[in-house]
Amino acid sequence: MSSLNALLNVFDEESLLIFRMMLKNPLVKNALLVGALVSLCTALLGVILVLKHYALIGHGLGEVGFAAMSVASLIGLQAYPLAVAIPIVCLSSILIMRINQKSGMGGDVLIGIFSTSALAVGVLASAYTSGYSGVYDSMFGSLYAIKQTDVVFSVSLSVAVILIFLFLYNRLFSVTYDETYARATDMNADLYQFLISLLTSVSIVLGMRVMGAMMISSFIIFPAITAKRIARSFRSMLLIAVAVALFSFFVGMAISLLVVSPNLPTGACVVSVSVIVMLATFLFTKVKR
Amino acid sequence: MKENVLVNVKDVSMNYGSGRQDAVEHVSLDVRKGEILALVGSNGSGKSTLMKGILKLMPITCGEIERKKGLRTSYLAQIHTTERDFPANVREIVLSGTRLGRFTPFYGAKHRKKAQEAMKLLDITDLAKTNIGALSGGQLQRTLLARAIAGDPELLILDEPCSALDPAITHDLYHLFSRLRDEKGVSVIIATHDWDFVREHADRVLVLDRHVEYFGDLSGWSGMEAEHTCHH
Repeated sequence: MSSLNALLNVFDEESLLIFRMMLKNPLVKNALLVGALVSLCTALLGVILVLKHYALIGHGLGEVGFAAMSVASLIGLQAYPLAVAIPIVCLSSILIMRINQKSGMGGDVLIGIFSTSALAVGVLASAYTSGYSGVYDSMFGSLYAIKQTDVVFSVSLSVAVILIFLFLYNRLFSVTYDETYARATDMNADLYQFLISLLTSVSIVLGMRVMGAMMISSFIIFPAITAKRIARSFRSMLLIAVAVALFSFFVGMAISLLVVSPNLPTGACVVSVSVIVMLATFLFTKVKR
Repeated sequence: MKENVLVNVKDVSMNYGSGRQDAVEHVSLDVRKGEILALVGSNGSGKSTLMKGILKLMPITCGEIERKKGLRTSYLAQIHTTERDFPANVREIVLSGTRLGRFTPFYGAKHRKKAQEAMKLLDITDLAKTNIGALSGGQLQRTLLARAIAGDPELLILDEPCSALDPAITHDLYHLFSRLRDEKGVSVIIATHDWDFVREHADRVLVLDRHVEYFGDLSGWSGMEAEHTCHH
């Protein structure tokens, strides 16, 4: 408690007053809830994606989400951004994984193709609607974009992700460690891959509203990489990743709310905290054996 | 399909993309219950490709592969695509080879017992809590083999399983494969370049050079003596 007070003393009275008022704001409360739930989901999914070398998919899908929302505005569906973005991002995610599997083109190349194409479409669509301020909000997130629908989606998503990780833990372990072996023993690896793609896509669309399209991949990568450094088992890697993600989110969010001038984007604050946690972990721990 | 046959491969060809030369051309064979079938051939002769076809890891371009309904297969690949710094220990990896029922989410005492037995067979019980990143190549190979055996397979498909192992361990493993066949009725398909193994342990041999050069009992393979001479 004293350390929290010491931290808060850095900020002046006015900042603290605004901070306390903001915490009572329903929009900020929603953003906190959605952000925390999405952090939890992406941390769990990120462990699988990082171990399977699909870590950059979050970056690619974030930009596909941005394009989908920009196009939704262009065609007059701005009131239903999730209804437009979620199916498009899910489809892209499944396409990336399937094409990668069938063509052997390489996940990095495919993610590059999808993300840059989507970025171009999104920027062009935004030029006709909200202009570049809209692009900025989509890219770096805005607390005030969170609506009640996002809250409902986030709670549903978290329940689904937690249940899947709880009841399919052993199967997810097998498919993540050695997909070829899993297939050779008649395990339905495609089903688990499909589930992971679907849940990742929904998490990214929800998370990008708080964090922004540019920053959402950090939710997937940093907690998992930090956890991989110290975890000795798959289970502990999942738990550490969740702890790192939630810590980074709440600290980053608090900083973005406390610093009134300049107005710091939440996404960038959360990513900065994640980077510091990761660097500290790498500096102060030995590689596990 | 006959009762004692697990897999029937009929006139199968396979390739790595349309327009490319077939890696396997018009191959036919059957795998019987409780036999060791040795796949022999030089590098690039199609041994690994044929194994992937039988395991449904790769599509076939023509022909047909018939498998016994519900056949339990296990596999040891020649090249491991697994990550060395994956956060898991030997016990967890071996346990992951046991089979969960369709509606069974968690491993029980039965699965743990099978994993324990497989580790004992492969003499890696003392490595149970070792992180897989700390294993030598040979220890990892034995761990993956234990995982394959823990799955209680009817058909064990092994792609050059002893290539990373020293002669003493190789000798022990060859006897282990024979024991699995004799005591548990497991069928083993094994790709190998070791004619001593073929002579001492295999029931039948398939000599492959993309197409079948010979398939049958060892006594009928006229090239064996030449191969044997060549290796000594």
